Amino acid sequence: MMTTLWRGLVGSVQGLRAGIDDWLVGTRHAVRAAAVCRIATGLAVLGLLASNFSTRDMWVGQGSVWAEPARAISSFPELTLLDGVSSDVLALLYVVTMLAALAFVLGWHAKAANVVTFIGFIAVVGQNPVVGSPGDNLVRLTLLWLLLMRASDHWSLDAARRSRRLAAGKEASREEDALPTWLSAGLHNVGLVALGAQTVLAAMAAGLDKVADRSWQQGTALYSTLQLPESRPFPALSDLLADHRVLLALLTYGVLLSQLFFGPLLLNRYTRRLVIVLAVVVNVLLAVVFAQPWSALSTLGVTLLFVSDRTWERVEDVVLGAAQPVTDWTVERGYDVLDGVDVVRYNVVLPVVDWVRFTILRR
Amino acid sequence: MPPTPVEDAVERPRHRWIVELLLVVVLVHSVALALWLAPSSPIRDAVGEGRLASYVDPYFQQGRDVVGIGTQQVDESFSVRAYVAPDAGGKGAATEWVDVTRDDNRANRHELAPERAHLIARRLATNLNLAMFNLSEAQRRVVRGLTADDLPSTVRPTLEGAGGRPEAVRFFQAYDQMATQFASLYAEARWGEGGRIVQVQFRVGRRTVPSYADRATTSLDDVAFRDFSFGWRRAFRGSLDARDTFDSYVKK
Repeated sequence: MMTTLWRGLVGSVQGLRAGIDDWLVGTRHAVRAAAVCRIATGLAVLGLLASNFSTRDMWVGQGSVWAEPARAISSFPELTLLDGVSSDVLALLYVVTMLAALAFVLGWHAKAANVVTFIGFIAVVGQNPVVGSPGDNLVRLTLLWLLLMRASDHWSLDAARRSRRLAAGKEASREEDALPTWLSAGLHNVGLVALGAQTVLAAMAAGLDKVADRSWQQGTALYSTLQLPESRPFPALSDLLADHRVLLALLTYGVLLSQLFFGPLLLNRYTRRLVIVLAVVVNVLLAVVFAQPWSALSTLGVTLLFVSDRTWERVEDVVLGAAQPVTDWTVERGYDVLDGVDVVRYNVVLPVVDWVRFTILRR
Repeated sequence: MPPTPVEDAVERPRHRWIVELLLVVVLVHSVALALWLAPSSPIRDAVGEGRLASYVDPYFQQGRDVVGIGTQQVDESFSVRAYVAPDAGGKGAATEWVDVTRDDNRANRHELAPERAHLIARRLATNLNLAMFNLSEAQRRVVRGLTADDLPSTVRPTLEGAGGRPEAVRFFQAYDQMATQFASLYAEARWGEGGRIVQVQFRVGRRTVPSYADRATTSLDDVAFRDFSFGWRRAFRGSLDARDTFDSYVKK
């Protein structure tokens, strides 16, 4: 009896382990969603750095010398990269980080770009912790987990190059073939689990923190935030929301529900769609109303990680279908331009060249 | 026919334990994070907040506010003035107070992506207010009496001797130093051409947004700031690069 039970238990554990192994090292999951997360996170980094480019010396350069006590207690080793550097060195590293973020968005040598963006982002943004945003942590952790993942399998220059090389009968690339397929898939899937868990935990913790507050229960919590000068970049829009009881309640409950129930609603395919759409709408509104575009974009990036690859395929088909006439038109106009260039070459350039050769040079 | 356990094992990579181990690490990390983010509970207390903080804080630094937006009910201001001595000699004079946060708010108006440099004054005000709240009443009395002649090394034992927590004293001193240096560089850029900046003073204001129920009768503009002026501080010179940066920023 005990032996049968033991064997059954061992068999169940082995079966569970086999199932986990198959999921982990079989194929890479959510590769399109990872690509969307890569693009959104890269854009968030690029946008933040670009919008602060003109005041970078004041924000994180020599002008931030007063923030040294806050910097001193930070435990990020990356900060030493910009420790006491001149304005020129700061500009160089700043631009390198921006270029790396752009390469990351485009998926051009995405893994290397991810590493440089990750280090550069911490080195730059961490220089002035006093004006840091909670969204910075989300970006930093997303970039960290994306290091394990293959985020450039789709919608990237890496993917286009891989397709070209494979079509020509060559290896994909040395960079991508460095690891065995199972290990590459395993690392990707572990990174996906970590990033997904972190996203769900962050959303639910934010929701739990709010739900105990009476003003969130009454749907008026955002009223006070909308009154603060630094949170109302567009006063007319803020007043519209603050004065309209229903709009204010909709936005307040939208924020609360999209956070508190984010995790549980992901478990069903229909409610998952609902909560993702709600989170997207809420974050777009927060980006505009409270002028937080970059943290909202990074939140959108990790939220869209939960959209299935099948849905992303459908989105891709729709977008490509809609873009087809535009691309066809562009290609046709391109041929027209090339034809025009040829006409000019034969009718103008070559006769002039011949005239110079035969008349002036007499050859 | 389903594969036998032996065949099944052969099909899977031999060193898959590496990935399994990584998964376990990630799951343990997620549990630690969940406990850190969770409201107070017996499980969280059993693990210990200090132990969780020692894991999460150094690098992962995850709080309950990384996504979305929270409720803020307090408006804060940070104002600066300086004591300027004329280059030609003679008696100096104190300048008018300048509300730096008001200038920053004006600069951020209609900006979808405001520059972080325009958040500095507001954040200094928030942290100075927080630092004062963390101090005990006796310590606050000490802070009120501080002058430009008091060195940080002598202020610390006095504050610690007045009771309260040592971390609160460290936090206050850090932000007092940051505010002094920021105010000095700001003052140099703003009034430096009129003479030598000898001392600076800063003050923080605080006012609460009227409740939603009173929105028809009272607005934030009707509420006055409750100011707290810190004593005069000896001016910080800073490097030439730092002064140049402030110069171009303040006069922009």
